[in-house]
Amino acid sequence: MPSPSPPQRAEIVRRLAISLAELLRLESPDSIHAESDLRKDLGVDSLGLVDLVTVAEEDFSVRFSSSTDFSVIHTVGDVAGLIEEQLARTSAV
Amino acid sequence: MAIQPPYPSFETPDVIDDFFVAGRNLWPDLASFKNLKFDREQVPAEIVRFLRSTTLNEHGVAHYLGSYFQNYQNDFKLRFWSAMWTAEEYTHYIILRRICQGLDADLTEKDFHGLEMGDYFQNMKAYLDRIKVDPSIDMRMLQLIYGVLQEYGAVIAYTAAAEQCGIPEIAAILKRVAKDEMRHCRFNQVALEAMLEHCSEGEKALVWPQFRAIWGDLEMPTEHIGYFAEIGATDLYTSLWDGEKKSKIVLYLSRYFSKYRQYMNNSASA
Ligand SMILES: [Fe+2]
Ligand SMILES: [Fe+2]
Repeated sequence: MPSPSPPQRAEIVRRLAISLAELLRLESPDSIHAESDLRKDLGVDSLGLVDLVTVAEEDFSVRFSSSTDFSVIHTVGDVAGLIEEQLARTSAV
Repeated sequence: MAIQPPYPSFETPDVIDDFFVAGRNLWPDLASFKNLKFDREQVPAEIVRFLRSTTLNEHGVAHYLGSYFQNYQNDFKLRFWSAMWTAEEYTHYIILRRICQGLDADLTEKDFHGLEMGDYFQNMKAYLDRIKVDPSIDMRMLQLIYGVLQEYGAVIAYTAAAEQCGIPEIAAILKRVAKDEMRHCRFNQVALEAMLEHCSEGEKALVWPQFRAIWGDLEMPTEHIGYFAEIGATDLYTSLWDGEKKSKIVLYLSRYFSKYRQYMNNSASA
């Protein structure tokens, strides 16, 4: 049986927005977009990063590479890109 | 309610025995470090400053023992462990000081005097009191969670210093120190897990928020000591955590502690 294809970037952003809204206690995920800046728009600091990493790895069943540098990850879309990369790697195995 | 002895942190002393035995054989070449000689020109000034302040820091760990003894209460196994751990940190002091001497950058009497003016006990207590997420949290649990973060932070700082120091012989020694720090980190994890076996769901639910609270307000021991601020060395430890290193810390700690998030959901739905 063919394995289901990994979610597309837009779908990853949508799911991430829902998780982030919950983490940040926002009423709705509607204001979170791919371009939303994690630090400036959403106030994700080094503490928030712990939550974001945990939720992203759990929700998408991925493990970020140990060489990931989160200091150069700025937007929700950047995180989605990382997740997409890991999902592609997993499905390629 | 916080568990109290006679509930032990470990059912048997085996884990502590293993730690002790491994620790006896880690630095058989310690005596030979007296003859180290390096070319200071090859080592970046920032790394020399890091080595000097970290030498003092490792020396200062012994002063924290009072705080650890208090937090481990009557738990003799953890008290015994903390005495052994302190001796290992003191070994790091000797090793790092030998490197500093080899670099012709030895510490002075003034450095040691400045270090000993700090009120370790009160500083540590004030910090732990500030960061605890629940007034009833078992102080052993708090100390062990802090231990995991502090020791992993040390692993990464020594690894970074090894990568940047410019002299392979120093790098090899610093990597060995980092390995010791990983053992310390791991011991805190094992002790925490053993202790949690006796804890209620409500107590287990404190682990994840306590980890977050410490990470969000992380102070390394140097920050408790005024002398480090005086010589501008307070943040040397964390300054070696560049973006990639800090990300490594976030990934490692998040993954380790995330298994305790489930208890929050359990206790919320109970
Ligand atoms: Fe150490
Ligand atoms: Fe250590």
